Amino acid sequence: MVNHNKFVGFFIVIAVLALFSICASAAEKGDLAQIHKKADVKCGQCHGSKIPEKSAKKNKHLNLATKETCLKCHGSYAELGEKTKGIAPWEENPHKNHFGELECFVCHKVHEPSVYFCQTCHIELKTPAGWTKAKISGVE
Amino acid sequence: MEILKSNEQLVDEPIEADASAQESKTAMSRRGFLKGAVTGAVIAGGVGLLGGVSTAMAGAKPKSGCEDEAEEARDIPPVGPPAKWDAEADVLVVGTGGGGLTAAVKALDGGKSVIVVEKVAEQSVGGTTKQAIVYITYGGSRYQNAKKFAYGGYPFDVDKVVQEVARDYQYTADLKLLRELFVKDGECVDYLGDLGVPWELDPYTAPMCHIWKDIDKDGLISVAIKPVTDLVYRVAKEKGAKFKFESTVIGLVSDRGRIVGVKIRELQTGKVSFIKGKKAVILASGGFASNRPMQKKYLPHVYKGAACSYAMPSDTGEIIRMGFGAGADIAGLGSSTSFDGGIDWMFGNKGTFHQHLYNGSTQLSRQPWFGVDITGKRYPYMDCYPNKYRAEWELMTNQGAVTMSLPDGRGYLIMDKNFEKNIKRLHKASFGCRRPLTTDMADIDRVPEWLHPKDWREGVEYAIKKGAIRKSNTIEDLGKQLGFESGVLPESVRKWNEICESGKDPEFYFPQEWLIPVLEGPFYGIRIGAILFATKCGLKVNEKMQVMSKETHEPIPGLYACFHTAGGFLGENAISGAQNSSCVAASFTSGYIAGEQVAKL
Repeated sequence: MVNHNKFVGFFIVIAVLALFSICASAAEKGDLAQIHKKADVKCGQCHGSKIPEKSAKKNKHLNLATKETCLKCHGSYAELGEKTKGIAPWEENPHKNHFGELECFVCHKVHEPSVYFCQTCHIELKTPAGWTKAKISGVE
Repeated sequence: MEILKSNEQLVDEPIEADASAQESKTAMSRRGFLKGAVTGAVIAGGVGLLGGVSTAMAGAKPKSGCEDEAEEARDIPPVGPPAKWDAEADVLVVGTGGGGLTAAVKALDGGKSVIVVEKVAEQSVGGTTKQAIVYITYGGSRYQNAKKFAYGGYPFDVDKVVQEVARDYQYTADLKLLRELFVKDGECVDYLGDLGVPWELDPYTAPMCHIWKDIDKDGLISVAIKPVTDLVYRVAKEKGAKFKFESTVIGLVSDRGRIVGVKIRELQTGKVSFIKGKKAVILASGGFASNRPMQKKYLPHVYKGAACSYAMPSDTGEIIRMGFGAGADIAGLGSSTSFDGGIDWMFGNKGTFHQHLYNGSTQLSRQPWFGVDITGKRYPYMDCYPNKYRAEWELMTNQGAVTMSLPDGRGYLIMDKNFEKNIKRLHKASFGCRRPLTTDMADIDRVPEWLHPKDWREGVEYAIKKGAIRKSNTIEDLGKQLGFESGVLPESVRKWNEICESGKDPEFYFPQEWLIPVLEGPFYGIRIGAILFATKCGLKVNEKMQVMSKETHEPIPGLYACFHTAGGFLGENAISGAQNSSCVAASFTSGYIAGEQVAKL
């Protein structure tokens, strides 16, 4: 009986660890703030250089990063379009779409899971790992 | 066991899983998992066993505690009026397809101020209508009168036509509504002509098809209506309509039973605002060709038998759900229109439900190749049963119905390595939108690069690369890839090759040139279903395009709808119906009528 309990306990520990690692990897994929942090990008680089790093979290008046800010490091929309293109020109390409050059934060949320904006109408598109499925158009 | 089976059908699976479930063992075990999950749900919560059935039949009641219905299919109740409106006009139009744009212009003609809300970006103006080809009317336009043409004989006798159409749909359609539409079809064509559309009657088909002059020089008819919707949009702007693009309606606003406006959300910024339609709100936002849960609820044949859709992906149906939520009655339950030979890209997750009609691979899959159902039996091809009184496109929609009615709603086309050469032998079936496109066609540059390939073979190559068209060196292996039981496909091919050798097809009357044996590998196999292009189920309207209440059977004050947000154009339960007054006509003409009506308010 004791051995049995130890056995069960061992599996619970393994299961919790496994769950943690799954959550961690999913969160990592979607959590652009962590990715930026790892790449040593300072808060001020996105939210304005005047913001002191330490108080950034508490500062509620941060400048929202615009696409110009993102594209400084990530390349032009055309370059991003090259990275996400399919094998044919008529395949969906989120960086070459009929809305034109959207603000990056429409999809890439940085401090929360990103949302695949195109799914608002193209409801069948697959949700990238770690992202949130967009709400269907017309639904609050 | 019976209880479990019933509940299993109530589970809403994601689109990808729905199609792939029949293909692989992995998917089968996933179904098993879902079945187990449902068993748990039944034990834990007591799900209403017949909820799905009664829901589908009743159609319009908001559901509470009904766990079987997907969120995307539920009715959306209206919201109350705000303390302050953010914008207002006499008439508020939702949607910029042929119906919405024409309604806007007609209302402006009557001196009304107009705001139009559209969820897509400005460059996608024109809705699903813009993707269509021709404006088909029975008669009565000045272009037809000049040729002394009307369907059934000149001069145009609308009552005769209404009776014929009524018979086709078992008298389930609203005949007063159809009559009004057929009378106004010609008027609307003339009106669009006055706005500047250079109509001509398509020289290659019956004199019922109005087409933008010279656009069909060489059989290239992709997005042929787009210049028309572009022109009406330009006119609407010039006449003073205010357009609000990239804004999705998130609620109809009801004030003591009257629909007085909409609540919208800007898609990019998330900003929410209220827009008032002081005299009327016109819903012209298309159907629900992209909403599989709504299809499951209202169009079971489409859910089973449509492999893909050619309507705009933005046809997600939420405005119809809002109409039902506001108490609208339903019309056209079970009715829709589909073409034939749609490739099942979702089979094995090779692609999405939305596919362009002219994507090249579809031109291959719409030809009369050797085709069987999953048991190895052949099925009819409608071009072998011509009816001189009916138009060619009806053969196509009937072929859609044939495919929908096969086991699993799927057929399988098999061809050998010589398909590119052999497709020429099938040319009698390759008319209209079935015709393979080539780069030497006149005006091919009218098709933007991102829309679809300019050479059909490029599209086929793409579908093979993606795996939507299966390829193998043996028929047995090809059969395995497509889900056939061992030995079934080789036996069917053997019999077919015998028919080809004999030169006669006593079973399905294929002409001799279509008897193409499957001999040399590699072999190709395509799983096909119907290509949905218009849902014909939606809000019930009267002949003034006023939306009818389910409760009072009177118009809901302030609310109008155009096709295909309205339903009932093809009566009830027409699984792949068609009539000579086309989807394009239904859209523009219903907008014309709605605009004319609200102009009088």
